[in-house]
Amino acid sequence: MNWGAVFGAAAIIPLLNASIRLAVPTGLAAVGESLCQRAGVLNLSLEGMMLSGAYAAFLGAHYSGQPWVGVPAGIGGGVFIGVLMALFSVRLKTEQVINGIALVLLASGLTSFIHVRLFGVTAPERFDPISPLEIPLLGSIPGLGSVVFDQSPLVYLTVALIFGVWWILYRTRYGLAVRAAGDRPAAADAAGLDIDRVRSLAILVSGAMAGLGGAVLVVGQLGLFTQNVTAGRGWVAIALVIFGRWSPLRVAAGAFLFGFTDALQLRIQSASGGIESNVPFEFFQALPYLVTIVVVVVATARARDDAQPEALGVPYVKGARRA
Amino acid sequence: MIFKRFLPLLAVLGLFGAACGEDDSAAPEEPTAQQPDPEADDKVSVAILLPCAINDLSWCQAAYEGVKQLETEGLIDLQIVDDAPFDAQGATRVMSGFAEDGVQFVIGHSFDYGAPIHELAPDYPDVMFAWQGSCGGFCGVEGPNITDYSMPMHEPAYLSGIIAGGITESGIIGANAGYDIPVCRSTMEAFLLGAREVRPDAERLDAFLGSWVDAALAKEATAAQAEQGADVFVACGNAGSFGMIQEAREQGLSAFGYVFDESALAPENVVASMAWQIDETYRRIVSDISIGNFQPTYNVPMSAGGFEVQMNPGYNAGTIPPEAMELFETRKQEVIDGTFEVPFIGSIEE
Amino acid sequence: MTGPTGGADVPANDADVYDAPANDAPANDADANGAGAPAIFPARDRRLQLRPLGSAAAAVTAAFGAGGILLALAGANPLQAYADMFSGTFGSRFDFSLVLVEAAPLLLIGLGLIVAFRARVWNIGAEGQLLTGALAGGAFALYAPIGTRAVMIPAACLAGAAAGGVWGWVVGFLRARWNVNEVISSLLLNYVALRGLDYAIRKPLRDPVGFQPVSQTLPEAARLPDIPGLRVHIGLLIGLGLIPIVAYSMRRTPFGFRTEMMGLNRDATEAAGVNTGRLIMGVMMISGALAGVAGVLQVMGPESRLTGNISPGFGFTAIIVALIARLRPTGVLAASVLIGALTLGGDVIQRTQQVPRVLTLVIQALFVLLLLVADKVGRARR
Repeated sequence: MNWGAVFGAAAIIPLLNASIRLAVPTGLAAVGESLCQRAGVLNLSLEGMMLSGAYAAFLGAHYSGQPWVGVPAGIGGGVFIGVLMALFSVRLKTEQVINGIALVLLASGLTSFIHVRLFGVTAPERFDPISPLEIPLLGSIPGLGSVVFDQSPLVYLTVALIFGVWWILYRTRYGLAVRAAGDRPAAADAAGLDIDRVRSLAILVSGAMAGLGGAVLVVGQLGLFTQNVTAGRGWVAIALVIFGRWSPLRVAAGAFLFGFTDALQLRIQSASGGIESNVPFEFFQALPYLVTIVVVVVATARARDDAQPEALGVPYVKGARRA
Repeated sequence: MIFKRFLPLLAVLGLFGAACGEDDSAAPEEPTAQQPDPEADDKVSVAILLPCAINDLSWCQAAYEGVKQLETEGLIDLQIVDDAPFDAQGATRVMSGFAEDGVQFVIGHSFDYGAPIHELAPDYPDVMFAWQGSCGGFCGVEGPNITDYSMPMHEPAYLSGIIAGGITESGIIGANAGYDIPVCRSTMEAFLLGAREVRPDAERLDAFLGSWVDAALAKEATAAQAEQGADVFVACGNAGSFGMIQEAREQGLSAFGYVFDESALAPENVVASMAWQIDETYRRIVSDISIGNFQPTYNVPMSAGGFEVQMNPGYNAGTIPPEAMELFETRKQEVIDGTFEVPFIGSIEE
Repeated sequence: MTGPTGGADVPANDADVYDAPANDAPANDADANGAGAPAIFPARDRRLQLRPLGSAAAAVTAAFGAGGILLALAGANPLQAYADMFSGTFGSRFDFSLVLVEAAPLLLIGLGLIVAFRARVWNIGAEGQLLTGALAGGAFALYAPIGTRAVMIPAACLAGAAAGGVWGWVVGFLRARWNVNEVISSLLLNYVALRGLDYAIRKPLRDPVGFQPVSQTLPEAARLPDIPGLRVHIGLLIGLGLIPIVAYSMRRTPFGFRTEMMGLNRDATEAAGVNTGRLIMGVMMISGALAGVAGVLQVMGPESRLTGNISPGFGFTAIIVALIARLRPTGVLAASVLIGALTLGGDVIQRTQQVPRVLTLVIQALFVLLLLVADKVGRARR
């Protein structure tokens, strides 16, 4: 195998760029989910939110002819599933896990159904995805310059949102409320906090970010929608939240690691002879998952605290009897 | 206890069931949609299972338009299941429903449907079953009411490879596929063999995605192969071809369309598409069913109009060397005449 | 305990068991004690106690109504579609057989999941455990020189149980040894198992004289016979037989007692001298083993060979089943049949009303969501 093609100096910059492209959709969803779980809601509808966002983004871009319109549309698509998730999980307080899984099914069916209804078998006109935005001067710095300063505007937006969520969670009153709602809802309630509102809002934020993640796939990368285009990224995002131990910045780092390993395995597959490779390519395909497990084992083994929000997954009912 | 828990639900369902029962007895003669029209006795009733969406611009759409063509021609009564289950249990469930309804001909448009069809067919001797196995002479078809139809994509792939061998500057081809299945392997291998007719030093880089739907991952696989020098691309898989074509478009490289005319996805970058004219396959089977001459396998190669290399008029033909184009035309004629046989390299052992 | 109905009747005796007040404790306790893992038991909701039956009826009506609107949009007659759904699932022995075939793997996996979930160990990896079980049991059935069903089928099931159990145990071990959250490890191991199966059928287990990446058809001795009178493989009986066993062991054995106790409060359980690490590994192993048996039964039953598509997501659907059942063994049976009926019902209206399959998925999701609301408000009264 030609290792230089994968690890050579010339290959590093494209590898990092590819890692970012692969990390952004999943990372957006995962960081949004980290806020949601901090508020105590185990939102398993993430894949559905991403898919709904991807499809809404496609519709927005298709009908306006402007890929940028897909960004708010995608956010709206994610929020749509978020509204349903909040309705069932927070307002009606039915089982969060079932609601989440059912909403994934719903989004998958609905997007496919609408797509066939709207366009039949005629392929809708494709559009050009949003192109990279090179920041003048900085983007032409040799080496890492292009990684940092010559990316799609959606990448910059993603970075801003990651820090935004971190800032909200640790530096604002709402963030305090979120953490209280996730750790000690009863105490927070007694202190006058409206747990339902805090949690609903967190679900909607999660929906917005997951929807944006789906939108990135469609208006930032592909220029078209295909059935189930999110291909399971939402599930990986949920794993990444735990990987990052509910801290937005660590979650984002996990998304990058996952994207990096995926970018790497594609390069190894190509350079190792594909079909003829001695190491089965299925092993390379599994690499991102294996690396994530190993890192999470090492990280958890070294961590001394249990970062999990204490009331995660527990619907909060005002005045419920306590044992 | 559980019955109490579900009591309201069961009560409602029960009432509902009772209501339905009355419905049925009140209007027993009302025809439902699936009952064959008595006036259409000469038409073969067909049900097809498509494992993806009918508008996927590829695998399922090719089959969909194929059967629709037959319906338009008045040859068949048609029922379609899109996004049909992949697993044998699910497929059996869906197919046995059709068989119970008395559908004459059930098509499973994926190699995954071979196993459930073999399990089901003996129970319904009057129903004909077909699956897309591309077995040809390679694996057994067991049962008088089972057939396997081929997807001879290696032929157009070989011819496309000849053009690709002319286009490529680096001599490196990038290929992605969902899984290493015979249809994909034979396409990839034939493509490389074709390219080597023009560029004896041509090489191929492969990436397997482990998914038929992940277009974004296919795009990244194509980007990775482009980094490693590939400048002409081929894919096996619907979403895979979308991602590949989009990346080729962004980088100004060349790609070939999979199963369906995909030139609209990148009018300047898609060189040609290997378009499957599957209606001819279905037409033959249906006609054989109506005359009681059902065959164990059907293979409709290029010579019989089963496949076509559809050149994209928008592609800059100037980048294809005339020698390559000439060789392409010659080989194409030979394939059609039957004087040149494209080798089929479908799995590891062969 | 000899037939499907027998299985359903037995747990009537358990009514007092699973409605015992102790059982509601985790719900009310969970947000207060913060025992580490997420609790998924819903708490009792007092606000919704007003006119619960009316609300339940409203939710059921909403489910049918929303589904009806979608059906009408797809050009179907909603009332006829519902009638078809009902008669096509419960209308004949043949149709109901198909429902039971669909329910069989969900029942087995669901029973395993409730053991883990009751300990508040959130196993999201049943899919991967099913696949490893199918792979090991399938490989055993393909190559073990056993000619009689009576030996082959139990032996293959054991092989599947062992493999699924090990796959589950890994998750439990990581949790017990290094406190690795089981949700992430079990979820990620699903993908690893899938790739392993992909490889196995592409290379080592591929049918040597065949063509596609699938194994040979299993030998006759490893094919499950049908239950007499039904077109359902005997694998269903294993699930039915396990219902009282699971119910009994959760209720009456020290193991069950410790499991319930750990579900309430792991720290207190530890303090009481229970080795909770071993218990976590134990429940994960049981959960994985049952999923593994479900996998090998699919291979020996409906699938007839090893392929890359032996599960359409049973491992995930079973999570819904276990939770709809509120972690009660009999509830798992009811919920499996319900989900099986919804799945088959979707197929039926596809045929009779030309409803696209993707839309039947939407309707199934709506039903699950709204029936949950109905069940909840209906329950709030008691």
